[in-house]
Amino acid sequence: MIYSNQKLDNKTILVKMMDHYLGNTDTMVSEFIRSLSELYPGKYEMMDGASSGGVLLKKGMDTDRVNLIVSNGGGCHPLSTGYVSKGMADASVNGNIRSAPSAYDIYETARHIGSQKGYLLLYNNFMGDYLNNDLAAELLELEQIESRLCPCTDDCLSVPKDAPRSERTGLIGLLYLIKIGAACAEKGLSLDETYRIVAHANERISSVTVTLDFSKEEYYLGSGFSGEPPAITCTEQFDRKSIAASVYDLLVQDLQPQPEEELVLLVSRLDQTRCEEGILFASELCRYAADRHPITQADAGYLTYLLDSHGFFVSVMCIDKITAPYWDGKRIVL
Amino acid sequence: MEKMTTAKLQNALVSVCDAIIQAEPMLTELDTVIGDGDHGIGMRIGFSALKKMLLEKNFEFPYDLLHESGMTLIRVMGGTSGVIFGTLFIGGLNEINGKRELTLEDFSAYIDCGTKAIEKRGRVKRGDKTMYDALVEADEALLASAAAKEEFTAALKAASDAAKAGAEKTKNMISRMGRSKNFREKTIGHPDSGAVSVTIMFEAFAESFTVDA
Repeated sequence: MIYSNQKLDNKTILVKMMDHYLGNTDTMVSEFIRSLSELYPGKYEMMDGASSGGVLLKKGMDTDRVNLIVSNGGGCHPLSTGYVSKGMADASVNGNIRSAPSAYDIYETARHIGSQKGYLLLYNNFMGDYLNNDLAAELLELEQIESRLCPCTDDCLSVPKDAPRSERTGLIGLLYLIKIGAACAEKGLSLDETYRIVAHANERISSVTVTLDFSKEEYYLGSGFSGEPPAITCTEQFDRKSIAASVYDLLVQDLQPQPEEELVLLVSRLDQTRCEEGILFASELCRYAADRHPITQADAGYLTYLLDSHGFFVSVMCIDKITAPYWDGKRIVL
Repeated sequence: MEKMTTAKLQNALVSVCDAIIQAEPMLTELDTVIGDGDHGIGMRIGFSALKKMLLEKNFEFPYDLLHESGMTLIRVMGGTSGVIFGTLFIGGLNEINGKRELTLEDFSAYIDCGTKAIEKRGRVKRGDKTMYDALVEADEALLASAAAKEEFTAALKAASDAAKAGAEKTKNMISRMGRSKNFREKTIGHPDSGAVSVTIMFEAFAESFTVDA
């Protein structure tokens, strides 16, 4: 089926692809996590007994500090299995394919870690992720285990313009929140302080999905993770420089950077986009941005997938005096 | 006055599981059109685990049966459905605590509290195009039947019909919750997959009572 011309939705294609390689759609997430922990025994271990997808733990984590648990639907590597390491998350809780993990697995992960200072529960703000993290926090509270919910709400086109920010869903800005949260935890901040800084960082991030259609010479802004239609279709000026400018303008208009803020840029290429294209686009974006705002850091990479698509996830974060002590980027001068 | 025993309730829940498991392809297709396509798979995984538990364990009280059922769904399913359908099972447990058999009044109060718990946890309301649109209709039908002192068989049939009507209404709604809200006006003409699941559950539950009666 996967090799036929039949039009299938992204998720069906993903399940078929993964089925092809891994054999069983119901166990593929746990098999993947087991494989990661077997391949890199010095970095990871797998938590036994997860009931929805699978849980990847950082090996040798310090529990005398706030610990970060990030959760998401399974099958999105490197989101968030690839975000478990020193300076990043302590655990990644994965649900079944593209489905939020169960509250029970998030709760059990916290109990397994045994943190002395509590847990920051990080997730992209999709309904399933919110509901399961919220319930997990309730279950932890019953046992006097402290936790705080910290949803990432950076997808600027996921809701109408006048909708509150709290209703937005999340994209790749989650990576920034994890890095800042981990820096706070490593510096020994309390759970409340860590939460305050990470929640503030979230307010200063805006991201968007850019998908490219080379046959029509059009690009689209705001396609969803699961093939949800884009919010904006752009039919003019289909060249790298113009696309970078329109994406940057959109994100900056959303964030309205303040004079004291410096900006961090992140480009994550989509599945059909080559690594070189990601670097070229990030560089173009950075050049355009540097003429307008102070840029502290710019990166290009591959953070999660949008199957069968050309393009990028693009993110801008404003660093201010609250977040600067927990961000170690260096000013880029072009 | 007819009463619902624990054994009867357990049998009815096995029928509900069979119906949901069987409906996976249809639910997946519905959710693929205006969502992210995970509803059918999630429901099949959750209700397969629930069926396994129901066939392996025996319960003395409806409270224990329904508590274990809800926790199984929450533990295994994940996604939005795990919490929401799990909450339907455990949200009204206080209404039936300590009872060996349930009257229609007990059962309707249990479903009513479960419905309100979903409303609160999911921050959902009528017209958002979710499973709640079918559930709230079934809930109201059950409360009306209990007030009219109807028998279980008739009340469950009325609840099943009401759920079906509620799911049908979701076709004309624009989605305001979950992934499907991103499809905006394109959701018109398609029923919500969660609402269809509620219909399947109430239908199977009511049929099981008709057969047993």
